[in-house]
Amino acid sequence: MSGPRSLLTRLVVTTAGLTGLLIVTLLIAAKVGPVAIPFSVVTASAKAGLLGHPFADPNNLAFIFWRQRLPRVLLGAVVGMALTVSGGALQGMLMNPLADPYLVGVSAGAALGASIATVAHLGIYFGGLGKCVIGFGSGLVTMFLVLWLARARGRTDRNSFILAGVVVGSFMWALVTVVITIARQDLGTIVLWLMGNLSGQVTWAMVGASAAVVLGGCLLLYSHARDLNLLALGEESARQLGVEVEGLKTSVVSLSALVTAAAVSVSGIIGFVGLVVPHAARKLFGADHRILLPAAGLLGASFLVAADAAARAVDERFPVGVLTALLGAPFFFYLLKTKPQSQ
Amino acid sequence: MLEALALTLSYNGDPVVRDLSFSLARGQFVGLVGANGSGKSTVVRALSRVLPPARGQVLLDGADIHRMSARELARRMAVVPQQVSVGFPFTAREVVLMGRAPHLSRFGMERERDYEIADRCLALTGVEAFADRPITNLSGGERQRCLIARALAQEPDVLLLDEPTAHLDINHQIEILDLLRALTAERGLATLVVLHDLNLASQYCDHLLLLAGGRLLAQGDPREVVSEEHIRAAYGADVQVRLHPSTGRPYVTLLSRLPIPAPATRVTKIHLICGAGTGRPLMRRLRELGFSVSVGVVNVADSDQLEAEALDLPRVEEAPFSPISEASHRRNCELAKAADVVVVTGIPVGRGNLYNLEAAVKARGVGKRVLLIDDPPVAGRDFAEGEAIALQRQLVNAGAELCRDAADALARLEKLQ
Repeated sequence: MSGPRSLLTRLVVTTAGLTGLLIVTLLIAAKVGPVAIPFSVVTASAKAGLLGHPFADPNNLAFIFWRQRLPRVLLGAVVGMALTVSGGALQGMLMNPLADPYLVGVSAGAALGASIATVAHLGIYFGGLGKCVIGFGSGLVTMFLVLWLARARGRTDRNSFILAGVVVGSFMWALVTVVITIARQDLGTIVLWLMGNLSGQVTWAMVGASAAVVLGGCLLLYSHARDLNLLALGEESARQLGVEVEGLKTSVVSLSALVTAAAVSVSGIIGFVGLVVPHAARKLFGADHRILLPAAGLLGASFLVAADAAARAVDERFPVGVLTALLGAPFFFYLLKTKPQSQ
Repeated sequence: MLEALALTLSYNGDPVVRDLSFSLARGQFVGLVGANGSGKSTVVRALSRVLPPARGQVLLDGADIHRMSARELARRMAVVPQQVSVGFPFTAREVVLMGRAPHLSRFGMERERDYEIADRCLALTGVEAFADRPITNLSGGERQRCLIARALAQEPDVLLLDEPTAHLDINHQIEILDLLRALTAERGLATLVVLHDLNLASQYCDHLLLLAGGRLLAQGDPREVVSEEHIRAAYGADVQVRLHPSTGRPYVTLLSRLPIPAPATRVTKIHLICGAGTGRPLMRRLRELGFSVSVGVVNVADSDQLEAEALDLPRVEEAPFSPISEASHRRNCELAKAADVVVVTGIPVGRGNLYNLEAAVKARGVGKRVLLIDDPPVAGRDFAEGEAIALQRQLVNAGAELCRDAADALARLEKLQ
């Protein structure tokens, strides 16, 4: 028998350990950057920020920490969790270990929305979050388009769904390219966004709004964890075990898209996290989604915070999306090559 | 317990199964048989609420299953699918525990009792040794047994199995069917099993349903359902059905479907003395060469007898596993005398079929040409304490030709008109 028998024990131990890892990663990452911030300032300014007191500091380190560094690392955690939980859930639903959160077309849709918002200078609306809100909305609209295309006779075929996602995604990317060619002067901003980064102006409003959507979405996805396990036996067997399969599929796709859109709209397109981290978590913690989803989410949060800190150590504006791709692709090859039982 | 009422099942409007009615009672072990594409799996899908019927109803204790929720039905009915590849590396125990899901509350986790049930089911199907291995690493047969354990963990009243033994070795087929039948009796399950193998179906099931072209061709006791006519109609195959001497159940032997060669083109008549499958290849070859062929004495259900029957050759038959009687011997001698050449194959000779050699001796005595195929050599197939060797020597001394093997004999016969 491997490990403790009770699922609850395994769940508590795993999440507690990974939450600890995340906290340590957050604390260390908060120090890293062009301006190194000592722990004393971290603790003092955290106290001051929470209590709302002004914090006297000659070098303005507390200001940098509270207004720039902390929102950025927390947003990294939120985005990392969003991408891995939705990636893990989609892999489970599509029974395809190569699925990733961008498969549902959300990224392409959000990219189009955000590009248009940049070119048309719509960023000033919605309290300065215009670009995020438009990206989020267009991402969701695209997902519904994909879902509608893949649906036939009251059911969603998984392969049709993947195909529809790819086709709609390609179409949207073509439109993004059109926008880019038109937008000469905003080219740099759009490209930086597309590469995926957390280096823009991160505000507490962005962190709060995306965290609310992501945490809510992840909790709802988690409520499908056991049904996702049963789905691994095949759709028919899952139905025969009492799962309302069509409802499950629609719900998992919608929630994944919601969570992904919330992440993409604030960070751009950060690749490979949602594909590779759930894979690694499955190897480490087993296939049971009731443990896999929270474990992958916490692991993904730590991973993205660490990757963003590394990117920041290189350069304040270095896109973390480039770094995750650089790290993720070789790791993915490694997984492919060391997985002889894969069918 | 489970009743199908005038079910018509269709995919995209094309009816696959028409007007099917039957019922399945507690403690009953029912087999569903039929050719590929006859609609067996479709019936299982309809009975398990996956495929809504175009017409008709499926009733579980009088209630329409399509008015129940999927979970409600899953607490009472378990289905073992034909073929499953599990998408992710769940351990065998995790897969079996999935059978408990219909009994858990929405967010409930498995309790100690669920683990006990899962372990018991793993042990019943003999896969406890693999309990902690990823199911993706198990062989097809091991995986199949895990899925049967998963179905049993559901603690159902009705168990539907779609070819549960398709990937299993013969020993596991028997183990699983024995287990299923015992559980059916002990727990009062109502079990419906789709089986490919008619002989297994006939041996294990109390009641058979035979589907042909989407219709129920016959149902009832295997002795009524498994008949040559039914099988010809359902499978388009010529078979021979006999009652198995030890079980009393019908068993099916396939007859060759090769076309029967054209009528004789040569004048020479050959009488073939054979048995135990030694004459089978020669019979067809001689007919193809255009000879008239007769056969003697062969036991019923012996493969020589089946081939002679399939080729419709004049022959002398003896009851299965019985010694050659006086009467049969006499008729054998008559056929041998009516022929121009007598060919004796390398039959294993015991006391029961010494007459076969004596018939050859008599034929030689009236001047017939006799070919003895000494393959394998007679010393190795004499089970009559030397009498076969003595008779062969006597034949050779009287002028019978000794052939090394069947090819040698054929070469000599081919020269004849």
